[in-house]
Amino acid sequence: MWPKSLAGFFLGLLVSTSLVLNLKLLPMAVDTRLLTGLLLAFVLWAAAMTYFYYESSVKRASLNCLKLLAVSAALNGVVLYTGI
Amino acid sequence: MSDKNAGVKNLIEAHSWLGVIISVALFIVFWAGSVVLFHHEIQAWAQVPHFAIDKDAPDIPIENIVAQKLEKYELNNEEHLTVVLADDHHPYHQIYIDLKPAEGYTGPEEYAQLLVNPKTGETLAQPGDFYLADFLLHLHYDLRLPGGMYLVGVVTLIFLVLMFTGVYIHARKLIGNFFLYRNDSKRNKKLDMHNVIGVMSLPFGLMYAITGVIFNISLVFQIAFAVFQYEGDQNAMLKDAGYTMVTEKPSGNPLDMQPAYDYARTLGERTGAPVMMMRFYNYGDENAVMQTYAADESRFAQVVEHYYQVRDGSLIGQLDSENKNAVRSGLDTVVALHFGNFAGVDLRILYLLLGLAVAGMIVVGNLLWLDKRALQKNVSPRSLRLVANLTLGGCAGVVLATAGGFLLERILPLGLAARGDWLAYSFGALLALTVIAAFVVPHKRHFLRLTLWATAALFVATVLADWIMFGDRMTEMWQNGFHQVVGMQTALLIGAGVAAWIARVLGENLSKAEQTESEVLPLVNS
Repeated sequence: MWPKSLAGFFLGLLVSTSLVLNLKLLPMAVDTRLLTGLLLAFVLWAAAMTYFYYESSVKRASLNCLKLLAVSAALNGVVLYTGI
Repeated sequence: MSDKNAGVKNLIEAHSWLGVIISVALFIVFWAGSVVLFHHEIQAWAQVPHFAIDKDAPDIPIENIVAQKLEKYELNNEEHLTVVLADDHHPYHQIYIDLKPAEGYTGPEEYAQLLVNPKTGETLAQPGDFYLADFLLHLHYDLRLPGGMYLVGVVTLIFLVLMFTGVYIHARKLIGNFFLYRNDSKRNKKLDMHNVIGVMSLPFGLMYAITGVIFNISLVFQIAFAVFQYEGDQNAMLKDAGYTMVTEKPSGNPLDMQPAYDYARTLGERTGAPVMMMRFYNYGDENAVMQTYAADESRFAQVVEHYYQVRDGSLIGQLDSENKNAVRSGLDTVVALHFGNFAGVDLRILYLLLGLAVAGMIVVGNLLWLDKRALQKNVSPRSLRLVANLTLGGCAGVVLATAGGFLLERILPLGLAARGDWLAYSFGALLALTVIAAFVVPHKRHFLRLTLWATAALFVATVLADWIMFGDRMTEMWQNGFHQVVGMQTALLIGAGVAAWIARVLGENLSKAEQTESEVLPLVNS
């Protein structure tokens, strides 16, 4: 259970952070975006941790999480370099 | 086994494992949080009997009181001067003055905290002398441990995970089994109680988990936002989030502060939301700014906050129903939902009952884990004993220590140096003693009964102490509108009654319970 907990906690944090940073792609006022990001981030973090506990293999859960993280991080890169 | 069934099985395992790990901390958070919903009432109960106040006498203007205090305490005007004004619920001003450090002093910032009679200007005590309400608040959000705020944040995040896993586990039966309460076996009874409370309190629990993590660990995401979206400029992010940053330092040129007080006075009259708090930056200087804070009771979770530049009367920051910011409005909503302060006492009583029900659910969850593990052969007896004794000692201990805290808040002499510290250390000692005793005492149910009787006795002793010390003033306080004193006494007596009733029920069923205990927890007493 400890490997699942540690992987879920840290990968969940990375994925949730990366996903909410992509909210910048949506047409929202900056204050609305910050609030939505803050509320959504914790729900996504807890959801990612739940997913790790759901999977039987921590390796498979991590791999799936890393795939999502890769896509989301690529979008983060687009946001960062184009300054959208 | 299908993937889905395996997944549900994994979630059940994780749910009970995570629940046991965070249970005692989460119980303390919920218990302290439930009690401290009545923070203002506890504070008023503690303070009002000590200091008579003539409600009909006129108030001395607050600027005169501040000027009088600043003659005695040298303000460091690079820091703050904060005034929390008296109101109907709390009849004394609280003034916090950041003190000018002595030459060569390098320790932590020092400040004077004064509880002041608004009718006479007399300093009555230090607000920190009456520490119970604030102590319970601390216990709720940081367990009063170093780094406890982040620890409670992580515990709350895991509580959110527990709710997600619980909902997924029961998703298919959530509606069908909504009214299921089986009476056929002790284990089914406990399981159904755990599930019923979990489902009934789900919206409440979700609200608490999400608002709790926002309070305690939102810093993690603030840093991410500041680094990736504001190139590390945290002030720019806070500005977008509706916070006003006062960055100017004192210039050294003096300035009369009277216009600030006049502004605060007219602001309350204009908006209908009386100013509750004034915080001054660069007090008495050309660069002085006054922050005012008020609650607009005509709207839900609406704060009125102005930053008033004293030298020219301009506003450098404004937050009210016409000048909104989504982050600040959202966070004010979070605060209102979390503390239940957007309605009357009846709502907070409902919050209290739900909070205590969740605390009960946590204990039952641990008992279920113990029942299950006791039936498994490859489980270490030491781990079972540890969980059972920690649950008993931690949960019963914090309840007993709270009752002790109430009594001490009432009977400790007012002039006692570091009165608040005495209360905090006594609370910690009582909690620690109960935990140690839970490990040592062989008869757990007898011990639980004893702690419950002791809790009831301490609550009753507190009310008796109230009447012995201040009985002659009770009518006067009631007539002056300070109903919190009698209100708290009623709550303490109800608490005593409930504790005594549970102890009695445990006693009546003792022989039966002991027989069951040997079946359910055969290792705990060994």
